[in-house]
Amino acid sequence: MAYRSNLPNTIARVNRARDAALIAAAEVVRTAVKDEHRGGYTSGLFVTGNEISKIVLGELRNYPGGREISVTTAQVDPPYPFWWATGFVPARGVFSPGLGPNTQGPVAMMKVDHWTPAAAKSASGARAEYDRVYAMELA
Amino acid sequence: MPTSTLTTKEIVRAIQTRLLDFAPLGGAASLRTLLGGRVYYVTVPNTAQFPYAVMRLTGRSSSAQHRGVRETPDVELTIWHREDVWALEAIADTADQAMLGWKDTSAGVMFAQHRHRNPIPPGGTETDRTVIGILCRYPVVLWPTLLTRYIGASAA
Repeated sequence: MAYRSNLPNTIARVNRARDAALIAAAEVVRTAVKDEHRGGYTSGLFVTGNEISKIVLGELRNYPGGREISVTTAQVDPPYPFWWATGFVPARGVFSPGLGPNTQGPVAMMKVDHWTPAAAKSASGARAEYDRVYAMELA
Repeated sequence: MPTSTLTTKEIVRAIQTRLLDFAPLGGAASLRTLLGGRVYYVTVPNTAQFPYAVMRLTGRSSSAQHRGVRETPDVELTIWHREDVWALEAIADTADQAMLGWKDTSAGVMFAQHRHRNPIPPGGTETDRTVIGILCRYPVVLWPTLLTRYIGASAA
């Protein structure tokens, strides 16, 4: 009896399952990041529906030793979410904490990072979702 | 003064002290001199003079593997200065030396083994473009007395 290897098909199926599982896991993280943003940054004035809707998944890509996907923002011009996450010193007049436009002074620094806590909170859920989808795709 | 890790405030103070008082080899200035002692925790007074640094402890998680008492947070240090990029880099250089390889076993073990360092790109018109920043992260390991003192104690 001739032997025919099914290895290429198996590899392709495993790869498809892995990619589907990565996307599913990233969706868990994306939902957590969106939820984290719903309360706004400080006053709530600087998070709009537009900004939340621009929290997106990056493309699947290879990296040495595996595949990866990112949760990121499409709001890059201006990169408001980036500034809030890393911290920024506002230009004079951008914030007027109750003082009025003629007397507002410099604000030392603003920083409200919603991304790191969301990633930490959703990590176990994302792992569980990865496992679930991976198993389902291979079943 | 011996380090205490009985409260978060004391943990933060221990890290601030390490950062400010570390003396680089060769007699270079400490951060107490370079920053004028201005290493803030989380918030910055609006009257703060440049340069200054802002510290946070992020990702204070622990696992069941060590009964939840071994913490692995990041010490996040954002350093801000106005225009003088080389002075800013020098401050970050000193911070890296202070944190990397730091090991304090006097009361609740703390040590840092690696680091990340990234400049913060200048912003647009909404930000003060004369201000430049560097974001440093130092993953540390903590066995804080805050948690370890209950090991061996009977359940309440």
